[in-house]
Parts: sequence; C-alpha cells; structure tokens
Amino acid sequence: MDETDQISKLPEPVLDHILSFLDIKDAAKTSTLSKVWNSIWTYLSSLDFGDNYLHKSKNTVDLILANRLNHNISIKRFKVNLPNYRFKALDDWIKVLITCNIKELFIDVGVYTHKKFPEAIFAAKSLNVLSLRGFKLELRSDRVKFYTLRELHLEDSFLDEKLLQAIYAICSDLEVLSLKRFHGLISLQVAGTLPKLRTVKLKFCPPKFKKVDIVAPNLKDLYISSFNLDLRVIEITACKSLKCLKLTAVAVNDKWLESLLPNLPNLEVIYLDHCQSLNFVKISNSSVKFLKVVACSHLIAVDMDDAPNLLRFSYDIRHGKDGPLGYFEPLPIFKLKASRLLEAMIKLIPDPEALDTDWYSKLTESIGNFNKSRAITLSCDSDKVRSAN
Amino acid sequence: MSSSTKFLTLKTCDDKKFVLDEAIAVRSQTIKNMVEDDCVSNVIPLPNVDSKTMTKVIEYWKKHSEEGISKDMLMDFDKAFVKVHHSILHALILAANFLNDKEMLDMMCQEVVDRIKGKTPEEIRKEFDIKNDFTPEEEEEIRKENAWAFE
Repeated sequence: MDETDQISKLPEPVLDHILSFLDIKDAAKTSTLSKVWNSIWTYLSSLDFGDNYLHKSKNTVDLILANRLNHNISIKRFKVNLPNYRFKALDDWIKVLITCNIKELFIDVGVYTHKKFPEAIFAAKSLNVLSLRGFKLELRSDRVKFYTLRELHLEDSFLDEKLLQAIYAICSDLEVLSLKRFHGLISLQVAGTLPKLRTVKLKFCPPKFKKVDIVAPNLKDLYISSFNLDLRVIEITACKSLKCLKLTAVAVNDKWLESLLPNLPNLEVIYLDHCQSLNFVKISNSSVKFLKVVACSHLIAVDMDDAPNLLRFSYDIRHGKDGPLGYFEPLPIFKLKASRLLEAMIKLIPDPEALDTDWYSKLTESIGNFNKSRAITLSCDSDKVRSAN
Repeated sequence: MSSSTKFLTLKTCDDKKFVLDEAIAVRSQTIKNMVEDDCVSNVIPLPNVDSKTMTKVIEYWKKHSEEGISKDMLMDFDKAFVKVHHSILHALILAANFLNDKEMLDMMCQEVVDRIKGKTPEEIRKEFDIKNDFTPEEEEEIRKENAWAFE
C-alpha cells in the first residue's frame, strides 16, 4: 500500500470541488494542513457558511470576501443563513459577490422579515441560481440583468409583479421557478418567453392569488398548493410536455380537468389533494401511469376506464362526519377496465362511529372493481375496522 | 442479451483491455461524447486510468446499471465501495474525473469530505499521510489568520 500523500496531488479543481462539500469552518481548518491545502483554501470558490459562524467573529465573511476580491477569484457559490443583526453587511457582500461573478447565491434570513434585498443584485449578470428566503424583493427600475439565470427559488418573500415580469422577459434560460409562501402577487403569467422552463412550484399560494397562466412548451413538472379558495383559474393547456401535475387545495372543477387532460399527451403523474370542487375525475390519457387522490371530499366517482397504462392508483378515504377533518366523505365509485399491471392502494382513515353494514358493502363493491389488478393494498388506521379480505 | 447490444473495448494505460456493454460505458460522459461524435474506432484508449482502477470503476458501473436493484442495496454497495485506502480513493477520483462520471466523482469526493469533517488538522494529516511542509512559525501565522475556524 502506498503510504505517501496522494490526495494532495489531485488536480486543483478536484480539491476545490472536495472543499466545496465542506462548510466554511471545516474548509478553513484545512488551510493549516500543508501549503497545497492552504492555497486551495485561499482560492476556494464555493463558500458555504453554516448557521452559527458569525456570533464570535463578525468580520469573517467580510475578510473572506475581501480576500477573494483581491485575488480576483470568481465565486461559484455563496450560501449563508444571515442573522437579523448582520443584515446591514449584505449591501457590501452583494457588491463584492457581483464583482466576483457570483454564480449561485443562497441567502436565508429566516421567516419573512420585511427586509428589502439590496437592489444591486439585479445587476448580477453571471448568476445561475438565486435562492432567497425572508426578503422583500422590489424592482424600482427595469435593470434586471439575470441573463444566465437557470433557477429562481424564493421563499417567505414579498414579491412584486414588475420584478417577475422582468424576469420572464430577460431570463430566457430559466429552468426552475419555485415560489413558496410568497406575498404580493395576484397571479403568475408566463407567456411563452421561457422555452427552457421545466419545473414550476407554487407552494402555499397566498389569499387573493387568483390565476396561474403558463405557456411553456417544455414544462415537465408543475406543483401548485394554495389552501385558499381564490385560486380557480389554472391555464396550462399549452404546456404540452407536462409530465407531472400535483395540485393541493386548489379550487379546480370537473370541467377544468376534463378540458385540460386531452391537451397533455405526455402526462404521467396526477396528484390531487384536497381539491374539494372535484366530483368526477375522469382520466382518459393513455400516458398516465400514476394517479393519487387524497382527501377530495366531494368526489363521487373516479373513472379510469380509458387509462390503460395506469400502474399505480392510490386513494385516501377520510370517512365519517366527525372524522379527523370534520367532514363526511362518501366512498366514491371506482370505474376501470382493469389493467393487469395496476397496483391499487386504498388507505382508510375512518371515523369508527360512522361505519355500518352499508359502508362495508359499499367498500367491498368499490374494491371489487380492482379484482383483476396486480395488487391491492388496503390499509386502515383505526383498529375497529377489520379488513374483510 | 438482445442482438442490439453494442460492446466497446477500453484499453487502460497498462495495456489491459476491457470489453464492456456500450449502455454501461456511457455512464462516462467522456466515452459518451466519443461515441456520439463517432470517434470510436476499435479500441478506446484510457491513458489516465490503470487496469486495477478500471476494474473497480466497472464494478461500480455494473452494479449501478443492474436492473431492479433496490436503493438500499445500492447504498450498502456504495458504502463498502468507498471504504478503501486513500491511495485507491485518489486513483478512483482521478479516474472518475477523467471519465467525467459526476455521480461517481461526487461520491468519492464525499468520502474524502467525510474523512475530513470534525477532525483536527493533525488527525486529517494522519488519515491521508499529508506531510506538514510549514515551519512552525508559518503554521502559527495561518492558524491565526483563520482563528475563527478553530474556535
């Protein structure tokens, strides 16, 4: 076995890559190992500050950034969880980061703080990934220069319509758009300007958020969750490549689903959760492989007759008028020309008081529809209910 | 195996030949590019990889191409795979870097990282046989510069 030091002889970019996996403290410690490691640390291009780095030595970030600036080093990634009292430093950091051609920027100030993010950021021409949490983002001018932005993640943020419009117009390379617990928008409208867009996530859309209208020919994944009944309009019929559609607590109705599905020839995964306005779900896409329905309490029937390639169907029944969610959920009728490949998973979350013979016979009848399927899993979280199968 | 299976011959720097299913070999972006650009004649030379290392790489590729293998099984395999002396780790990283297999490169780098994390500089030196080429004064100077990291 070779007992000499091999690791230090790895090419510099590989050593830089290795240190990029470490948080900044462990990376800085390697500076004392040897001259090679000290040099790798000095030029390290990915700076991942942990949570508690700033409490003791306040200027650490400033010094590390100043060092990169002086040595003319490009900064690939900068990641920090910023405590509130250090917020003022951000202006200077952003300036340095932009000069150092920052590519991936992650800044988290915790929950929404009403702090305005430095506007200088909009001039970051080389930015590929921007991920911010807890800020207010406002565009005063129209100077967004995110020409190479590929991913935008904004969480617990106050946004303005003008900024997003500018982003849709400029960021033609955008692939991922993810907004989580955001405020300030009443709609999201993308009109065919983002040809590379493949993932859109809108999580916990705020009240008054009314409309999603996306024309993106290469969109593959769309997740929307709203928890308010304002979001009724979701126009996505032009997203022909859509593969995965997940909706949670969105007020879409039968008509919407019926007219949408024929327009999505590549749809493979459908996930409907707490969509209370749905009564009849009819899946007639031969492309659909996975269908999951959870707590859609007004559902009367699920028709899978024309979904011959369905591999997995899963359904959560929350039954009983005093059930965990406080509503009565009838057992829907399942219709299907049984595919032999289908695996069905029915999960019962019943209110034992509401169970009677009638309920059991309905259940047996419903489940009987799957008798040609490959497997049926019936699970129940109440010990008063016995599976009769 | 279906009749459409294509095989590639890879030749390592010590002149050993490996015959491999093309579908597996293209886990290497470097080989994939050669295949796509039609640069493949008979034998693909791998001047930066020796046969001992290539045997390990192929073992990894084959395992990760196995049909129906569970995630748990792969995790166990990976765990055992990276538990090697640092000289072998070094050779595998170089190979993964040259072959441009990002998944494998990241896994090997992560192993180096795991062996660094939470250790004192002296322990890290011992782990990788790193020679301290600083004078005591130089080392003290650098330690001072980065004092915050040692708090």
